[in-house]
Amino acid sequence: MSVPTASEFCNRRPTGDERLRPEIYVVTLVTLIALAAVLGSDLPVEITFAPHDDSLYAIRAYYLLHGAAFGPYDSHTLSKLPGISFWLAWSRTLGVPYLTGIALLYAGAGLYMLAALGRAGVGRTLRLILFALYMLNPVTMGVEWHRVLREPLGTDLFVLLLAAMLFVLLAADGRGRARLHVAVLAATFAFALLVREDDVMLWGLLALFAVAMLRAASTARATGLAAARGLVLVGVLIPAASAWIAAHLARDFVEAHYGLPILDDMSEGEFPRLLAAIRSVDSGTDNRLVMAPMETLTQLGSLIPEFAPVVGHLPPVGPNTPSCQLQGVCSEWSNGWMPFWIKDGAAAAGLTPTLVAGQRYFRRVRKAIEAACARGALKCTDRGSGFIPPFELRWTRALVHAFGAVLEMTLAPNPNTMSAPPVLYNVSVSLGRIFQAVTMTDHFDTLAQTSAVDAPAQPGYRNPLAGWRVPLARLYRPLAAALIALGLVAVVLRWTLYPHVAEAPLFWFGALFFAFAALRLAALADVSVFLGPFDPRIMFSTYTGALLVSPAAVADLIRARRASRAPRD
Amino acid sequence: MRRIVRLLALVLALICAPAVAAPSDTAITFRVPVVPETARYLDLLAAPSYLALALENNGFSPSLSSRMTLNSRESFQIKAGILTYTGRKGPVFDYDAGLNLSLGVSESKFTIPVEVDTSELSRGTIVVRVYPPLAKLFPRELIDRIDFKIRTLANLPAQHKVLDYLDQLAKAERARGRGFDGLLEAIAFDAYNHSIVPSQAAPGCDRGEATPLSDQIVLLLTLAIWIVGFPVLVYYVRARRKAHAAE
Repeated sequence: MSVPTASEFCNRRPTGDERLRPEIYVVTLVTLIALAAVLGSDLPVEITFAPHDDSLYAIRAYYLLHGAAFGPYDSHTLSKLPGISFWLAWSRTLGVPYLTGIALLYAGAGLYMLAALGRAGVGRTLRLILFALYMLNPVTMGVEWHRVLREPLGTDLFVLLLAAMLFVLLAADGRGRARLHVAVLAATFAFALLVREDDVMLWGLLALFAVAMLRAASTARATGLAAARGLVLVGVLIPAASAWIAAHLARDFVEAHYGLPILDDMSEGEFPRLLAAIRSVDSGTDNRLVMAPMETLTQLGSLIPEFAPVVGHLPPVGPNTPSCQLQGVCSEWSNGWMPFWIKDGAAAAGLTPTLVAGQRYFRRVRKAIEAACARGALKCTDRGSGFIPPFELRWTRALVHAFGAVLEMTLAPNPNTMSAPPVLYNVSVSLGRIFQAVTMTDHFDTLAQTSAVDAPAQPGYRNPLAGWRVPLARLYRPLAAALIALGLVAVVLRWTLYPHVAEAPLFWFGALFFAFAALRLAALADVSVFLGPFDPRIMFSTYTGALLVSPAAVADLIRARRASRAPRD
Repeated sequence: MRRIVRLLALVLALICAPAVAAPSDTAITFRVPVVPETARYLDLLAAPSYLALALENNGFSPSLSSRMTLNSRESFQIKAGILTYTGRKGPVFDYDAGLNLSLGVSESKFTIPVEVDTSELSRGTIVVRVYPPLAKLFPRELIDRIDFKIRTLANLPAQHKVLDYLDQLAKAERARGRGFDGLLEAIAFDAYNHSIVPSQAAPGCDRGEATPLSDQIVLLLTLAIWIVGFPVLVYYVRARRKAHAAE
């Protein structure tokens, strides 16, 4: 029995979508971009003092702009990947304000995705609906989007990456050329890996992409099988090589200024090994959220004199600690804080004045712990060598809870919508000025910061649409959650119910996305078991990607159903 | 050698502390934006323990990393640091900010005067002056951190929240015919009602404690059914439909 493929079916029978005139399509796109711009037009950069986040990124960019690498080394300098600071510095060098740059990249990535979906056969009406969902995404009107955090940039890059992948998949299927899109894919992939630590999972996306490409290439007709297989190699190897080169260049940069090629000294080098050594010491505390109990640290402090000053600098535990108030760990510091306290304690004791000295110090302490374990002075059990301990079956219930929490964040993350811009910021004037210099925000008044009376009651510009943001977010979240769930169901149903209809690239694209989303959710849930709950912003990129992919997956299901019922030629 | 020099500098600072304790030109000044309506509760500055409790009751703890100890109405302590109200000269409230230093065999107390000048309160600012020894030698970074801490505690939404809270308590106390002391009592009772039960900070009550694997057998079986069973079902349905279409 010969049944047309989804692609053949689309080519043969014009869809209702094509009735929408191109001029109307373009005008509506422009209107949506303008509407999104106006909706957020009164929202400035949310200047925030966060030594491991916002202020770290801004201060590093400030030093980069002054040709002083990331500034003087301290325990924070390399505690996060440098990509966001590079972006801030480039953006400032080009004279593009930070939020404008993020908004332009977001809109550009969305349009690029629309072009890819258009080539995949998605009609104009559906693309318009999809773009409306994308541009009115409530997370783009939230506090986290306006802070100097990595998630907005990571979200833009993720959408760009997905669109480039769809273009290359289509090229493998014989639709269009791939050269430009492979270049976009390679550049985006390479840079994205320098932005967030958890984006190391993008290697998983690339592997899934290779599988989807091979599948698409196996049914390719226009380009020929050999050419399609060549494209698979190019489409996967070039991004992989680019990522390797970019990481190498970044490491060279760090080594040239700080002495060692370490991009993130929380998860690379000697510090995670030291944490693993501390974790290996048996203690009376058996808590997944506590890898370094106070009892163990005190014991280590008395056994290893070099470690004693660090123990002396640790803040006391108790009911008023954020560990107790946010994560319910009151008799210890949970893993969300203790690793930072140990690193900060070593810095405060003057033991890690440089990256090289710090790495040597952590190595000496680790060796001392290992030696104490070996000679029996400490009772130790191997609990892995990385920052995160290996999973044990007894944490299954916690894993299920964590997965549920991460899934909820993916379906409907709390956007923390900004109803009005802040009048004053809780930062020192000098830090505010650094943010001002780096992000080019015009919403930091040095004089107003000194008096509540001199400060205006509200900002000069009043956005007429500001009142729409909160109701819009309320309406949007349940609808988007249902749509994303529907998208996932559509991919499963499409694969299960219509096996006789050959899969179009759009199906592989949907399957690729949801497989990656499942992989990411599982990995983050595993990390969350040990680090405690994440902030919803960690799922912004997956959420935004799902908003774009889900309607297309539903459309693909409908097409497959039509194709399966179409009369044979 | 550097350690010896640092130790000498510390000892010198301790010895000189009483000498420079009096207000001098070498003050570190912080200008804090404050909503003028806080003038209604200016007397709370003379009872810093209650003010700290009022902040805690609204979720603005002076210290997130350790518990506050209240010594008296005028004095409270966080770790080794003590703040004591010492008097008032018109709009200026005087305090001693102290540090208990443990030198192994004995304890030494090191205090520096702090002034809170409320004369500009109607213009939306209060001025905090700290008179440490060798003030000019204080690193800018440290001053910025203190400035940040003050601003964190005294940001405008926080001030409005605390102000609303105090207004609410004061109104209730006025209705009962009680004045400022009634307000202080209400703050203290509220603090007690908000406090975390001490057993929550005890080992064995933390979230994340291990649970036996045997308690999770049913969960593991359910997961196994879903993780293995559902894909098998989906694959089976697909295979059947494929075979049906091929016929």
